[in-house]
Amino acid sequence: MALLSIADLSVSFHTEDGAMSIVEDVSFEVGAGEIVGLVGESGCGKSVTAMSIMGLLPSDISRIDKGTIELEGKSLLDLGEAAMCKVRGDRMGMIFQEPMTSLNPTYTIGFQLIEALRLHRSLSSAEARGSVIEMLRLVGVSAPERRVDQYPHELSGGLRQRVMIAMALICRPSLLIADEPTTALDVTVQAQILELLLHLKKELGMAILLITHDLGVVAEFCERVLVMYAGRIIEQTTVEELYARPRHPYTLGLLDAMPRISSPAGKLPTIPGIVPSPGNRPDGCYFVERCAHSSARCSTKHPPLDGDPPHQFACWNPVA
Amino acid sequence: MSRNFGKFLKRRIAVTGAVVITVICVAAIGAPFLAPYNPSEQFFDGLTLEGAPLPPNERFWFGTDLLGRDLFSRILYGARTSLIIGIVANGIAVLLGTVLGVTAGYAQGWVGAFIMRFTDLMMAFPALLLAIALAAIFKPSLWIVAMVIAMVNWVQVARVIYGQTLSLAAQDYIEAVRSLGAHWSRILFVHIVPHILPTVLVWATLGIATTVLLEATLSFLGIGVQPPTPSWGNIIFENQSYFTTAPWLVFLPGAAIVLLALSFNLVGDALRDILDPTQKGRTAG
Repeated sequence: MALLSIADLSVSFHTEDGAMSIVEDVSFEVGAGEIVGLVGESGCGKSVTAMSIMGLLPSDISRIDKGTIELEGKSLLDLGEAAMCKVRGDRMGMIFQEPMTSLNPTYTIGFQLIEALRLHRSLSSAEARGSVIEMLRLVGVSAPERRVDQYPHELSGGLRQRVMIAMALICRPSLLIADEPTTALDVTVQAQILELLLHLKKELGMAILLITHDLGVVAEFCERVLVMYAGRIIEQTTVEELYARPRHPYTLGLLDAMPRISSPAGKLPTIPGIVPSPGNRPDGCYFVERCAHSSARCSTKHPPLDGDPPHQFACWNPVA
Repeated sequence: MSRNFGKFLKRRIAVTGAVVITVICVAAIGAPFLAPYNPSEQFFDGLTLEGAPLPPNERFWFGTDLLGRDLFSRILYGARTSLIIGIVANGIAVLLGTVLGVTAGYAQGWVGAFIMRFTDLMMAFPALLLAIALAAIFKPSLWIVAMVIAMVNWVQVARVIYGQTLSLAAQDYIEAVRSLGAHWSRILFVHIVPHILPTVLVWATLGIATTVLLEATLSFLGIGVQPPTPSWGNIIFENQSYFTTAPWLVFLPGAAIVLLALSFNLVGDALRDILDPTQKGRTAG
């Protein structure tokens, strides 16, 4: 049984401009200890999907229209807020894009890590402090005994991201959702953080859902990839398969748009047009207006996610 | 805490303010023992032969007012009224404003909308008119005046605190704490309220000056603290017709109001700097 399984998830936002469908019919699974990449452009619904799993969607404007989310066999959408608080941080953790602002500037990192731990475990402060120092050491923070008493502003961006990771993992969750964890960091620090996540995955055995728009990161880091476009998953497969034989024209476009050292100097190929905004999505396939392979059927009927596992794609005219 | 106290002691201006506040409090509490005369007693020799108030002299240190009463005694007793108004009325206003502002900013949704529309309504309603209406309904007394002032003054506090809570609730670290499984009450009391306290503190001290002045205004309109009970505000307004001939009657209680307001502001400023949570762990500037 999969650790996390999402079926037919649809999320819409209700604002003054009316209802907008953000995520549509998203289904996927993450196995225990697996690293799955969720890639797509800004605004394609990656973060909303992650927030739906965490149960952190803004309750006043968003609505989960249909679908199920199960973690370790437990249906998360049926849990009340109090029960959800017990799952969050304990069974699943999340790290965010902005390590600079994701720590409360008014408390020491020790206070915040101990808080994260004691929300779910009844430990004395001394015991909690011990575990926190041990966790900081595990995420590669040097001199953790000294660091615990420092404030976030005394740490560099890379160190703060390590602290965020320590916070998300302190209760040893079985799933870690990493929402663009390296986007705000220097390239060298990015590599260190990704290395660290890999190392921690081996050490603690949790699964990782890595949300990113960086296909390079996916190639290096993930076992399986989900490609999202305009709120839908349009292709999912193993990393090797995706890079060797992309079937959806959008995936192909993304891969072609990546700069390569071997490619001749000159303009990079791009995908023409822009992502249709929620509310302006065309009938049929959402990629039809930008697609070089489109046919008449594409603009009338939405292609389902189809094909033999593990390689599935939603396209009427897949790339050969 | 003791470290914060030490930091406070290092700021001489703030310590001066605290000393002035203490002196005024002692004067207010000890008025019956400290005042040379009964504040309501009209002295036959307290007025000149033409019936004008006496300037400060050896017998009446601050001079006498238009009825021949000792101004020094009246200012001492008036300190009681003004402190009660400044602390009780303003305290209630700040407390009410903070609770409503935080609730609206954190709950948002229809609860927040309801509270804030009500606040807007109160803001649009002329404060003085409201105070007059409330004072007319209830029989004016010191406590009623305090309530009326609180009802008028919570509005601005609520607005400011609402805005601040709203921006705090949208911070990334609030979301991060939620992702760790913290319950809403914990987020509110551990991660939001401590950030708001410095603002509350500043409003609490600034508000004292405003409330003391509002009490003076209400007294002038005859719906404030009722004579013969002296308050610094009603002393000024009772005697304003003598402003040119006997300026001390307006100047001395006015100076008392300024001194009290200034002292509270100085202390408030220092407390804000010391308690500001974002300044923790930084070397004092």
